[in-house]
Amino acid sequence: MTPTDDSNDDAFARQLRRAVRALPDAPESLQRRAIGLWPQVGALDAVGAAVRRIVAALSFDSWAAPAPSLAMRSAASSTRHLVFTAPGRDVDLRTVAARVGFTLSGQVLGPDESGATVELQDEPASQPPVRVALDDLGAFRFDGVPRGTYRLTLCVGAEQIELPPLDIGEPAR
Amino acid sequence: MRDNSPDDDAALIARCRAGDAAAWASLVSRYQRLVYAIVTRAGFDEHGAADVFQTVFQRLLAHLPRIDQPDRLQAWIVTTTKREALRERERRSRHLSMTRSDDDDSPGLEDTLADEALLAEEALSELQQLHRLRQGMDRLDERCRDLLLLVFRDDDDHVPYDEVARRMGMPAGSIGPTRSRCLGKLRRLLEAEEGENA
Repeated sequence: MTPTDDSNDDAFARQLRRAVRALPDAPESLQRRAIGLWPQVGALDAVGAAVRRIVAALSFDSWAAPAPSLAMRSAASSTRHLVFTAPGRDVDLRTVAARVGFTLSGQVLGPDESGATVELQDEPASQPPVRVALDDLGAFRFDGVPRGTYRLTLCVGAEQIELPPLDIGEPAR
Repeated sequence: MRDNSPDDDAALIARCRAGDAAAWASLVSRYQRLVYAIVTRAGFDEHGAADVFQTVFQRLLAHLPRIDQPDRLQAWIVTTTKREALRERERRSRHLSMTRSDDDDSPGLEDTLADEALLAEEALSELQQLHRLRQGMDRLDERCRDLLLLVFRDDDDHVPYDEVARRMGMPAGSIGPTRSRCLGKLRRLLEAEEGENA
């Protein structure tokens, strides 16, 4: 074994010693309690049930008011602005016609939550849902969305916030 | 970062989703040290540490159905643990400021908490590197793992080579060479993992 091997071994051993010291096992009782969180029956459903489902309500629709004729509405703006409200959070949405389909963009306003995602599912479901992550500002965007009815679900922390069905490319019913 | 063993994070998550309780136990076992290390750095007492530890795994359980990047699981756990630790500190700090009287000269929470720098991104990133090493040890054969743990544990609990030899049932003279071979095994295992992920 060469001196270089020895010094490499020493450096690796020092690093390993630090790892062992910096990362001791959590007390057995804590590990047991965490393992005991696992639901006892219907694991998959129960895991899903641990998520609190909330339905958001529409609080603003730029196409809904004030009420010019449908023709004027389309001519006035191809962008539709909607705001949905759920406890503790608002979801600000915009749909705009693009060269291909529509662009659906939005922002979640409320407490920061890393790892939050937004899922877009056509209704009735004919395709797998499309899921995107929120960026640092809580914003998200779906491009090339075909005209149709969709469900948008925000998955944030232990909550799933479901928006009412959304008609993209059509005036609100 | 992920390994390609049958029970890597992606496989464990998939098994959890399929209702496999053993996979959940493995996931807890895999990340308990990392969560506990971060919680400990935040300076909680035993009860506070237990609360945050439990909350993090509750959140992980709720998050399981939505994980679409299993290779980011460790980063998610680190971020979630730090956030929950800071939330709990803030909650306790508010409670303390409401219950403390002006002439109370007992130390405030801010005096008893661990160094803020221990939760800085850089420090947590280094902790994740150390966690990778520690996880590598878990994949070693039992004999190597036990030997390295005995040799590298805290100074306070330092076990002399003679005692290590007795516990391992090996001649004292072979501890040094065996330690070196086990380090070599671990290094190769980690290098192979890096190669697979490159």
